[in-house]
Amino acid sequence: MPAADDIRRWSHELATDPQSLSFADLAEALRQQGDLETAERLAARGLERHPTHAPALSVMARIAEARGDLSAASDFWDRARRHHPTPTGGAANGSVASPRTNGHGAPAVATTGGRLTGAAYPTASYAAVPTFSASLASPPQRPEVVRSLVADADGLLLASPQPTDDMAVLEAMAAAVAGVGDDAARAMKHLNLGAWHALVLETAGDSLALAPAPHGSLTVLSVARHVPIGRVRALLRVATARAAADGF
Amino acid sequence: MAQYARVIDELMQTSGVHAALVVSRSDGIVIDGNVHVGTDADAIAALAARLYSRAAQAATAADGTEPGFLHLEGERGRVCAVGHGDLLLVTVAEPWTNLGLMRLAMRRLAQSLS
Repeated sequence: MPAADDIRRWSHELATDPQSLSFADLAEALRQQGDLETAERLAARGLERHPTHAPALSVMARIAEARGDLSAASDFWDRARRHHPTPTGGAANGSVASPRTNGHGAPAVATTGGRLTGAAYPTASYAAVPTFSASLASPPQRPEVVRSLVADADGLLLASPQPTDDMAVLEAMAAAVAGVGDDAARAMKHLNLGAWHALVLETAGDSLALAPAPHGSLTVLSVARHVPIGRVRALLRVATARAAADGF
Repeated sequence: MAQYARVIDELMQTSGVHAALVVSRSDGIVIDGNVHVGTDADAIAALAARLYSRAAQAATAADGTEPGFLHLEGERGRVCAVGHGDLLLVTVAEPWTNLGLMRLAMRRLAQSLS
């Protein structure tokens, strides 16, 4: 949570320089404080001047998620990723770091969800694209998502919002889904149905939803049983877009 | 077998469905089915049974419960499956097929398999 001093400083910067990019920091701070309306107004106004500013797009995505508008959230995540398509490390706590405060100097090396984002990646505003691990974690916003993770092609856990909670279950899920993506791709190929983009399995308990990610990885959601199946698919789309924005 | 034929016929009447099969869940063998010309029923059965089994294992790892309706979406079509005992009801359909209707029909019809 940003300090009051930070909010004052960003407000002052914005007041003295309307072209300042601090609008995204301020909007994110307000969003984190629960003032979605002001945050949205601020981010939307800033995007009129800086329509490709990824940190602001990610703020808009999270506001849309908080309001349950998953379609808009997917669109904003997609735009954030498009404008910063290089895999990056996000702020692990989900905070939006300012491009200016991160500096434009020497490339940084940061770890994200167990991954190493190399020095070859620019830092700057990339750091403002939130991590997958920080995105679906907030219980008030995503009570229906029981677990979410990204698993690599070898069945190893790449990232999750619950890295210290149910670790054994998360790792078991990652291992168990590893072959599912291959089987789905094989079935689609043999049946000439093109590339697969979603698999949902309903059970007597939670639903399991999978989508392919680059390099054979999978985005995986375990969604509570009371969630309608159409919403499960929508949540999967958001998670996939968000994981892509994080470079997974 | 007559009951399988009734189930399969009903599913094949759904717009966009071009394969409906009753499959042995344990070995992926076709028990009964109807497919459009050019569709390989054996391949559908084997692939769907394997996919269902693998997805069920993953679901079990998550919360240890029995699998139900599965749908796999692709660019040019979708595969749906629902298990009942050792039987698996499988359909292959166009991407524009009404998934909601198909899901309800398959869940209902699967209960009549034995």
